[in-house]
Order: sequence, then structure tokens, then C-alpha cells
Amino acid sequence: MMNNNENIEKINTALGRLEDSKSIVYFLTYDTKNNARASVKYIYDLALTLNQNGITSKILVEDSTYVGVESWLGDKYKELEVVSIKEDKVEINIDDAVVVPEYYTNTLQKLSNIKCIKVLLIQQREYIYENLPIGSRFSDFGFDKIITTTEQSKKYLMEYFPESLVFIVPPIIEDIFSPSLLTLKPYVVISVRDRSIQRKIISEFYLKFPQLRWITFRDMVQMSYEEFSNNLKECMVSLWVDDDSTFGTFPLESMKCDVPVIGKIPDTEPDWLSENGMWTYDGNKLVDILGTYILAWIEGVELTQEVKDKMKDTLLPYKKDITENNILSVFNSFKNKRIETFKLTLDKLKLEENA
Amino acid sequence: MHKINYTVILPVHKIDELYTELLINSVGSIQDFHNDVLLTIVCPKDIKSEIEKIDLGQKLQITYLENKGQTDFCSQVNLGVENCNTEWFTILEIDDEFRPNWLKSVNEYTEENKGVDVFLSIVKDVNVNGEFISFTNESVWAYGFSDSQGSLDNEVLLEYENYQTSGGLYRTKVMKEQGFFKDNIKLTFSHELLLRLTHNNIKIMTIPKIGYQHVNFREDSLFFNLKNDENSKLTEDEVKFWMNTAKKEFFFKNKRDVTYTKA
Repeated sequence: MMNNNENIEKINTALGRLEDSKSIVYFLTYDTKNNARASVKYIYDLALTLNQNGITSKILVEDSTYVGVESWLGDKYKELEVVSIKEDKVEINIDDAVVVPEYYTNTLQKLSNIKCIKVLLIQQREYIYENLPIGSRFSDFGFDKIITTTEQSKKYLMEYFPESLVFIVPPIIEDIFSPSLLTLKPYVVISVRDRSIQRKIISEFYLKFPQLRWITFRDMVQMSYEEFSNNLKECMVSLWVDDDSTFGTFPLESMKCDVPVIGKIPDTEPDWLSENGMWTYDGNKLVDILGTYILAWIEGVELTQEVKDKMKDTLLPYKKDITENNILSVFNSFKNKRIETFKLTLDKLKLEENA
Repeated sequence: MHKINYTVILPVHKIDELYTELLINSVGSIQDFHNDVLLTIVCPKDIKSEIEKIDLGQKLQITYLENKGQTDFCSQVNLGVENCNTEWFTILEIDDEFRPNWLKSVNEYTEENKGVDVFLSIVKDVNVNGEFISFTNESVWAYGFSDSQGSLDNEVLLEYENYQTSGGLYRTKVMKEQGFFKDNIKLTFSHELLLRLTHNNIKIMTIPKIGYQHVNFREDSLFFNLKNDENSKLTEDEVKFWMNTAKKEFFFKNKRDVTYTKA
């Protein structure tokens, strides 16, 4: 057991590291095996934003077989150091922070003994109970701070985990998504989480609108981020079905490209949902909406300015600089809170020492 | 002064009450484009004065071109092309019409695709009652159909014949160099033209918007008669012959003697 002097020294060192910005934020990340995943890009964006603003961030992975994101996100994130739990024997200090996505809630128990800033990252709230012991709270494992992406999720988390501090940081909708300067092409970019539903939609579409069999559905898997954005910005319409979605990045990327979106409203309505697309609660209506839209498009009908304006307005809160400032402000608040705690502890220890 | 880039060539081979109505309707479909298109009506000498009397409005600049020789569809269009002085021309059949967005579309696509010399429109085929039958020219946008999505190539044309040249936009200079319809080819003159153009590396693209509406199966129309009229109906052998002829003749710029003889 450490005596007071050792504790004071340890906290002083940690305090110094925090004040000198030498502490590290570790982002526990899973391996997508070269598949593009918005949820992992989100983690990398958080890490990169911090790193570029003087807060050292590292990507923490299970082992050295981790493939990385370069194949689909390019070299933008190259500056982020990747460290593996197994091989690198990472030592996490009390002034460091660990950010754990909901995917890894099974590790909370293991991390409970580590004394550092612990943050839970919840993008898909549907998944949080998969590995969380029934009836447990995140705070049971020392995770009293949560970052999530939407107001709805925050509301939900506050209801079931009222002891947690919940912060909202929406994903960055990159400027790589911009309207095409060229005329749009007659194909549909489709993003459907459930492959069997995707197949059903395409089949029904061709059966119901045989005169539109020449219209292609472009599946956006196995594409780099750049290819993804290039394909999205050139299409005449995008189609989105993701009942489990919490935030809904894809529709916003579409809107940023000025590409209208047809979509089924997910079980949890996104914060940004308004008259900014062609939305339905009934998945069976999607094919009719799509067919009607395409027939109008080839007749030369264009989106009304009102809808275009709504799409633009929707994106306003998700501007890159706003989100980046938000990220910094959230993590700085963690740091300041930690500094404050350390100072209070120091004062207490010093008092005990002098008593 | 605003430069007019497009000429609409409208061949008329006869005039009566029905044809007058058809003419007024087809010309009506381009009235709104009067600032950007010229209209050339090509017709036989004997009906020219009658056509000139028809009220086609005051806005369009109309030239009436008298055909002194052959008055079939191909010859009349060719005469219109010979006399065309704008950068582009298109063909309007008397019972067809341009769609309201045609001009906007061609302006956009010609501006964006400088290397393309022929822009076909998606054609909406309707029956005489205006009911939808099918689209034409759209297939090139199907994924993997042609070498380059949206473009028509020679290989595709050797496999598929059904492409509509009326309503298409043609670069005049290039068409004068390449030659236009071969008037001695029956039924498949459009197909031969497209084969010849693609063979000579002329780029043909379909604008993925409906720009033109074509009436199919109208009694008395050229193709209806070739398929149904007792006097001019083609036999199965003849149809095959003209199909093969198109595939043989596209190598030659000028028309050659082609005569069908019963096997």
C-alpha cells in the first residue's frame, strides 16, 4: 500500500502531465478488416481532432493483427499511433483516458480496476445490453461519462443511467461530400443494413416498374471513402433503410451532396428528421416512392427549392468546425474535471500529512 | 445577339386535316424553345404553299424547304441536314413531340460532354391515345450494357437494333462529313446510321431524361405501313434482308446499290 507521500508524488506527476498535455487518450477500436464502418470512422475522427489540437490520442486495438483503416479512409489518419493491448503492453496512467465503444462493453469488468478517466462511447444504443451484465450500470465499472451522438440517445441514457454524465458529439459530415458539378446519373445508391431487405426492395422495384429495369442500384460496400463519396454525389437519389440506426450518417452525407434521400424512418427517429427527404414509417411504401421519384426525375422534374433549403438547414448543426469544437470542449471538460479532482485530493492528502 | 444553336428538321410528306392537326401539335411542342431553335419544314413542292398557310404561331423562325426530288422520310431529312447552318440539328416527326425539358437537358449535356457528337434522348413511346408503351434508347444506362455507361457502341448495336434517331441531337458539321440517312435502305436506315457513326468512332450518348415522345402504331405511319399495309408490307424475308443490309452497309460512307430480290 502506498503511503501519503507516494500518493502525493503520484498525483503531482499526473497533474503535471495533465497540465503539460502529456496525458494520452486511448480509443479502444475494433477491426473492420478493411470494411468501411461509419462507427469506426467516428472514433478516428474524435482521436484525430484531439491529436491535432494538442491532446495526444492513440488507437488501442486488441492485437497486432489489426488491419487499420488506410484501405478505405486513406492516409488522413496516419498520424494516429496504433497500440495493441497484447503486444505493446500498454500502461494506462491515472491521468490518461480510455474511451470504450459500446461494442466492447464486455471489457468493462476488466477495465474496472484501472484508475483513469473512463468514457463510454455509444453510437448504437441498441447494442449496449448485449454484453453488459443484466442490471449493471456503467458506473459500476467506473464509467461515469458517456459520449453519444443524438439528443434522443442522450434522453434514453439519462433515463436508464441517470448517474452518468452524457455528452452529445455528432459525427463529422466531411466536406468530401459536396454537390456534383456535373449532371446526375440515373442510378440509385442504396444503403440497407439488412441484406435480405435490400434484395427484396430491388426485386420489387424491377417487378413493379419493369420500364425502369435499366436503373442500377449501386451497393456501396467494399468502397474507399473517396469512392463512396464520388458515387454518392453523382446519383439521382439515395435509398436508406436502417431500423437500428441511432444517428443516420448516410442520409446527411446524401443531403450534403444535394442528393435527395428516400428512407424508412428508423425505430429511433433521428434528431435531424424533418421535411428534408422522402420519409415513410412503412417500409412497404419505399418501392412506390422510389419508382414515382425516378419517373418524375427522367421527366425532368427537380427538387423544389424548399426541400433543397431544408436539406441545407439540416446540415447546419453538423458543420465540421462546430463538431470539432464540441469534441475539444467535451474532452477539455474531462481534463479540467480531472485536474480539479487531483487538486482536491492533493489538498486532502496534504492536510492529512500535516495533521 | 443571341446565337441559335439548334435546328429542328420536320419532314412532311402530305397534308390533310389529320396531318394539319398533327403538324400544329408537333410544332406546338417546340414553341417555348423559339429563342433557341430554328424550324425547317421539308416538304414536297406541291403541298408547300398549303403548309405555309397553316398558322404555326409567330414566335418560331420557320424555313420551308421544298423537296424537288424524292419525298421519302430519309431524303427529306437529308435535305434538311444539307441546308442546316446551326451547330446542331434534330429531327421531329410530324406525329411526335418534344418534351418540355428537352432544351434544358440538351443545353446541359452538350455543355458537359464536349466530345460527344450525337445525343439521343430517352424516347417515350405512346400509342395513338397517348398511353405509355415503352421507353427507347434508355438501355445504355443499364450497368454493364455497353462499354461506357450511357454511351452507345458498335458492339451493342450489332446485337440490338431498337434505337430511335428522331429526337436525337446531331452535330451538323460531323454529320455532313459522315453522311446521314441512306435513303435506299428500307426499315433499318436509322440502325445503319448509328452503326456507321459508332464504327467511325463518333461518340453517341443517351441523355437520361425523356426528351421526345414518339407515337407508335399509328396507321399510315411509315413503319406501320411497312409492317401492316397490304401494299407496302415487308415479308419476313425482307425484314431479315434489311436487318442484314444495315450490318453490311455501315462500313461504307456513301450509299451503294442495294436491292432486295426474293430468294
